[in-house]
Formats: sequence, C-alpha cells, structure tokens
Amino acid sequence: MFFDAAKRQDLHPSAALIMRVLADAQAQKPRPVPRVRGGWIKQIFRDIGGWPAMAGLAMGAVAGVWIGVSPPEGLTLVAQSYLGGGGSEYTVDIMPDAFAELWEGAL
Amino acid sequence: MTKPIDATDDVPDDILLQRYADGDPRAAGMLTARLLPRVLAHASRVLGNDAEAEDVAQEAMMRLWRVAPDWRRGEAKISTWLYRVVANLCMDRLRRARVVSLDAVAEPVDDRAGAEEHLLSEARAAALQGALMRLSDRQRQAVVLRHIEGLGNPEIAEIMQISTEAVESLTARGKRALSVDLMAQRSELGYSNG
Repeated sequence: MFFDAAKRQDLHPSAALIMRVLADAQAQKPRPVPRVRGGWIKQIFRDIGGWPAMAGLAMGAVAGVWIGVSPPEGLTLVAQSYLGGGGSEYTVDIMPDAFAELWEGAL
Repeated sequence: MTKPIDATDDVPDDILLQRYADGDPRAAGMLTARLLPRVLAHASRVLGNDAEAEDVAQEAMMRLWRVAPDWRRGEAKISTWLYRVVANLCMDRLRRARVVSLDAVAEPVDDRAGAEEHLLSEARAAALQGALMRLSDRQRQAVVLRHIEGLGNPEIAEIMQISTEAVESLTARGKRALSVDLMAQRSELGYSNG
C-alpha cells in the first residue's frame, strides 16, 4: 500500500536535468572511427598511394608502350648490344663436335 | 531533421549505446528518456534529497557516456550496470556527508488544490520515504530496488554485489522495520487495518 503510493509518486527528471545530461552526452560523444570500406582491391589501391600513385603508374605504362612501338635510335643500338645483335664474334665453341658425336651415339 | 526523444522505441539499450558510440545523435536522447527517470527515482529514494539525487543521476549518466565506446554487447545489462553505479554513488555520498534531512521528507508537502486522493497518496509516499530514511543504507537500497523499482533478487544481488540470500535477508528485515515504523501512521493515512 505504501509502496503503491511510492510507485505513483512523480519523480520525473526536470527539463533542466535532461538538458544537462544531454549536454554531457554531446560533450562526451566519441569521435567516430573511420571504417575501411570496400574489398581487397580498394585496400591495395589505398596501400600503393591512391590516385597520385596511379597517375605515376599510368604515365610509366604509356611511356613503356611508346618506347616499344617507336624506340629512339640510340636505344636500339644499346638494346642490340645487350640482346645479341652482332654478338656472334664473341662466341667460343670449346667442343665443336660434341653435339654431332652425341647425335650419332644416340642413333 | 531529428525525431523527438522517444523512450518507447523497442531498440535494446545496448544497441542504442553502440549507436551513440558511433555518433548517432538521437541515441543519447533515447537512452536519456529511457534510463534517466529510473536512475533519478532510485537516487531520490535512497538519498531522500532531490538536489543530491539529481547530481548522482547526472554523474551516473556521464559514466554511461564515457563507457560507451568500450561497452561489450551482451556482457551485462545496461540498466543493471547503471543501478550499480547509482547505488555506489549514493553510498559514497551517504558515507561522506550524512547530510540527509529527515524533516525534508517526513512532511507531506503539496500545494496543489483538490484531489484528496492525490494528496493522500503523496502523504503516504512521503511517510514511506521518511521511514525508508530511518533504515540502514543497505536495507533502504535493497527495499527500494525490490519493492518500488520491482527488480528481482538476483538482479539486486548483482547491483549490490552481494548474494541473493543477503538480498532476501536485507529486504525482509527492511520491510519488517518499515511496518513497525509506519504502524502508528496507518489510520491517519487512510489505512483502516492490517
């Protein structure tokens, strides 16, 4: 009976208290942690440096294709010297008949 | 545009707290509307002093905001955790100051005209509050949680961090002491017998 009266008692918070509590909530509001969205491709994209890095990579790729299609003359000579063009005079065959003997033996 | 504060939404407390931690401005309003009245009522009944109760309620809610980013869902009930915070804050204040004025709660005060039944109800509540303030702090806390807030003994045990048996003992002794205390006022407060 006394408890029923206590339960009916008006103990609602005042507007001032509600405002103080909400102000506290605003002041204590945690800073949202930015969430990583997207899959692994986007993650790699971000890891290599995003759009600035992609611009550099694209420029490098275009330059490579251009050099492949229309190489400068000096580069052709350098490339030939590395890749064997006119290099036969440097070949030394220390066993010139070895391949022929092996071939005959196999027969 | 934000919706008005609404305590009737059925989103669980821990989800709302998570939303608050994620930056949802409505979540704090909904949690406040839902939890602050309970926190304030409990503090008010245990302390018997409205101004002190408001301070405790504000501090308890502040602790809720602070714990929000670290709250682990499903681990504890937010209302139980909050009651425990309020209980501890009230005990600290009661131990520290002992400034509760029984006179402030013993006299039924109501300046609203009419409504005799309302006045009687207020008088009964005030008489109960006066009697509650004459219990020991722990008995008062247990009785308020059990018989006014309507919580179960296991939850009260969790809030007060004691065994269920200890809660039963506290509430039984507290209720007995209240009955003896209020016996003399029963007839003047409109109770005929038993």
